[in-house]
Amino acid sequence: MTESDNSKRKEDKAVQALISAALHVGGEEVTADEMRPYLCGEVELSAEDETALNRVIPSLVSERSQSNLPIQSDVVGTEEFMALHRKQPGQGFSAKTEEEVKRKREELLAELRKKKKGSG
Amino acid sequence: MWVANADDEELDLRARIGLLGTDEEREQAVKLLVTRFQRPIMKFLASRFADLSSDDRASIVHDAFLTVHQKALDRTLNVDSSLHPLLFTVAKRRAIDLRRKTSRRIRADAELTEEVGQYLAGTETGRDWRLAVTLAKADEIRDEFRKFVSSLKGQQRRVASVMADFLPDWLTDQEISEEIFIRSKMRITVMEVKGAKNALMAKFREIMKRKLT
Repeated sequence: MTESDNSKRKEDKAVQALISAALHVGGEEVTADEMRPYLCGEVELSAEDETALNRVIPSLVSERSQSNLPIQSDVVGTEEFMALHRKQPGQGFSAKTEEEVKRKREELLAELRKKKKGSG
Repeated sequence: MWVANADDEELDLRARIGLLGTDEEREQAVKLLVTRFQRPIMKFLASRFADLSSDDRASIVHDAFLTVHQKALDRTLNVDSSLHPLLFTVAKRRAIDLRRKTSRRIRADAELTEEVGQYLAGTETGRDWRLAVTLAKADEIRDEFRKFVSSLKGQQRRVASVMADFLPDWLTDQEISEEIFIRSKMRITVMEVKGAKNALMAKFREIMKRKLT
């Protein structure tokens, strides 16, 4: 292999490495910038995606343990979005936890009221 | 930096309130999230995980909503921050898991990120890239290239989706062809892999050159 062949191979590999880095999807959190294009305006899906989504989303999940999230074959295709998992842990939650949830909810409700007041 | 619009913020807030409420309120909250975010998440997955089938992607979207619902039930949901970034992130990680399940060749993220620099060392391409970084053009180049790839169909897109997980010396063209078969059950020849790689490289070079002049 000539030196120029070698150099061309190196350059090609460098470009390929940049392509890998540009296209690689890592497990880090999705950022606002990444979400932006999908949240602005009308979202057009391919016919296949549209069909698949319509088949899966309005589905019912049985009341079994959530430790085993459903895979495609587990999902029952029904037109109604019905009760999700209603069961809570056998013992329920401690009074302190429930109190904290209630407090948090009140806090968020106050935030919502404030928002509505501000915009209204 | 972009922030969620007021409508999305309010919807998100309403959903968080609902998720802390009764069973019915929780269901309504999930419904609210599904109505607003199912299509954006599906589109996001389609652009990043073109190799997964539509059914797999839809199933992942479904799982993301269930995950949020389950977190609310378990009282482990962080309601101090917006839920839609969580939905997108859960969906992305599920898709990565699914891809890893089908391919035993995929290595850790860190390995790929760390080794890119070794390929750039001592090359013209590396020098150009450093200049692009200095001129704050690197993100623009990456974004335009990603947009280009997401507009592709067929072989080039499949090859690009494998290249996204492997550095040049990690897979031979034959192995790329095999990986495409594992991921999509489509057979493409080694010559076609080479052709697609060349076309992708030409496009990347063209974008980089244009942005640097």
